[in-house]
Amino acid sequence: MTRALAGGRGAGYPVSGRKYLLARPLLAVTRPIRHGRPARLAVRLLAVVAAGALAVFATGWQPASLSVMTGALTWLLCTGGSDLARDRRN
Amino acid sequence: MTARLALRGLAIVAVALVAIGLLPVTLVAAVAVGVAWHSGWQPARLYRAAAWSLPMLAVWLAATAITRHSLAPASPQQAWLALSRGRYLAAAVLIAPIAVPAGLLAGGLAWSFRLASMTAQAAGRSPAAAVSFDDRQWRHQVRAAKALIAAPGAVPLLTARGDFAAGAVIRTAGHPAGRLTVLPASRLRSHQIVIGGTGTGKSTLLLRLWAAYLATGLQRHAARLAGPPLIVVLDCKGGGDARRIADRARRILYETGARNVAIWPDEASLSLWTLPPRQLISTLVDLIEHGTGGAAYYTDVMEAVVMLAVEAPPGPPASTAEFLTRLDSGWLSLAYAAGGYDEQLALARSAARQVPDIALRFRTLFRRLGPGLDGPGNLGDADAWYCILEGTAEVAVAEAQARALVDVLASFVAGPASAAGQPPRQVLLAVDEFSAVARRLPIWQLYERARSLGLSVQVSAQSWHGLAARQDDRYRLAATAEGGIWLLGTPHPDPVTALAGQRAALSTSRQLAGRLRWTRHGSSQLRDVPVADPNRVRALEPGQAAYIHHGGVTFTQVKRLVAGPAALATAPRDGQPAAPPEPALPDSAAPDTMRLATGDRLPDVAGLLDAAFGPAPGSPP
Repeated sequence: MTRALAGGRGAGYPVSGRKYLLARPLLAVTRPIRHGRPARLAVRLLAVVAAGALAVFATGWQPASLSVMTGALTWLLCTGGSDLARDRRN
Repeated sequence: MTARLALRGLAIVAVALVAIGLLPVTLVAAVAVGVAWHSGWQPARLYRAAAWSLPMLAVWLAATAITRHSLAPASPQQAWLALSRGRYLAAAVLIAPIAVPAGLLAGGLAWSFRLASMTAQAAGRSPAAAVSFDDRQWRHQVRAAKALIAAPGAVPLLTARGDFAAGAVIRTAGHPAGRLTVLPASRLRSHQIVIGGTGTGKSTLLLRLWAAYLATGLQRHAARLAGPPLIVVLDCKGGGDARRIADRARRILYETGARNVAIWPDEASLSLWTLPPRQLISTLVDLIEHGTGGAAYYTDVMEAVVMLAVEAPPGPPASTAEFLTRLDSGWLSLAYAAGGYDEQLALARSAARQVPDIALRFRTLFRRLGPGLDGPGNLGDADAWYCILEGTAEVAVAEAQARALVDVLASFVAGPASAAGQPPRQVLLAVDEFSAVARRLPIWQLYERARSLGLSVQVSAQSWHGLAARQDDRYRLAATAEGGIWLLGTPHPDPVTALAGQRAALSTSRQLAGRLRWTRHGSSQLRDVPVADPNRVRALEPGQAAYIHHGGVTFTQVKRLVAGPAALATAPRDGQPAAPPEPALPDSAAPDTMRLATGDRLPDVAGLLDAAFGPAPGSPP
């Protein structure tokens, strides 16, 4: 098991960090969500999706439904930031 | 009269018709006004929302132009058609691109009109309606501010521009109204005053101010604009509570970027004997309390003897023991007998009878002061010093300690390190519970010469009267507080709120038409009202503060800084001496090398529990 984790080398060798380079941007994106209020953000996302779906369901693909989707997305961008946090302490 | 009534009736009917004709806009406006009322918003918030809904209008127009090759949209007609067929959801979607921006704008205008008429006391069923409306709006604004600071990350210590964010705005007068109470970082480097009683959140505010000072100081130091920051806190209350706050302050300052936070005298010590000889003589004489009248003679004799002891040929004393050894007529005569000191020798012989009494007084003083001022430490060894003075238990000792520490700090600030061409250190002297030492620490003198020394002074007291013994000194302190005054819940805020000045406001009288009935007739006049309402300050809850600066006030819900785990340090037992002092660690030492105090008492983990589970009910914030 140790050998497999160390990339085929014996125990005691440093493990290459290259594979974690890909994970770093992902972590940078998810950290504000984890430190913020993910449940509220999820509710906001659901609300946006629901508003868009209802608009399309009610009127079909019309300028008005596209407009409602735009409004919902703008609302998410404007208010969703309050559910993100770089630092949990503040 | 009849014509006027008819005109008014017509106007009401016209407004009603427009409202019904533009029903979707009316509905959105009504919802917007309701939300603004519930959340205590200002009309500007609704105007911003209206502006942010313009993209949906733009998309709607663009999509219509592309699909119909015309800028004349068909949605309104389709919406009415859908409404007549009972397809309410479709009707709402079709009219939303117009109704939302227009409704938000109309709501903002209506809410603005409502606020203005209530402020002028011209609306509501009775003249008292304006008062209850204002109280209700205050509660709504407080609720919104609390909700904002509850959001993680919503109130950073410093903004992206490097300004200090204290908390969420509840209400402003004469200051710009934003969501956060943001102060320029330069305000932290000016003198400030904090007034608040026990349990009002004063310590929480002070910790945030200190952390912000350190953070901005480190930024300026990194940009080579100034030397490294140094914070010296004099906690003049003492006791276990002071040690708990000291531990919390240390954890917060470490997380803000401090490398070394020393707690005096429990864990670190300073040396009084590093003062320049002239300053040392003055400080030593001031440490002893003198009387007036005939006592002036004794004071002069004491000063002469202290001068002889300090300026003796072997050089200034390096410790308390050495100084006390010199307070002996035989030692002084011998020291000045080497030749060339005839004047001093004559002085020593003439004062020989008083020397034992003077030695006794200093021996008693240094025994009471403890070893905290006799150590090898230097203020430059740490980024922050938290000095605990037992001002509640031993007022005279705390006064003497405060005087000595301030003299050591003034000497450090004006010392050779600053004169050697290096950028001077940014120094903040914070005196908490100033009233305990105010009698013998003329802080306003330090205020006036602090600017030339690059020193910022922050004084906090339980009340206006705790700032100084005399009214003149209080006003002098307040007048030089360029960084502003933080006012927390206090029963006598009037002198401070008066400093914010007055503003003109519209006041309307109403004609009484019967028992508890008023007509709409009356007259309005401009009258001056205080910018900072003292009754509002009296009723501030814990954690709320009024920031007064330049004729304006911002009521703030202060955001509490959450510190890391407790350092598990123990407080000294009552009646037992504190742990022997140690010199402060050098700059290169990492925080984790700080000594952990040992003892058989259980450690105080209140800070850890507070951080994990929130403050205990009834505990001071």
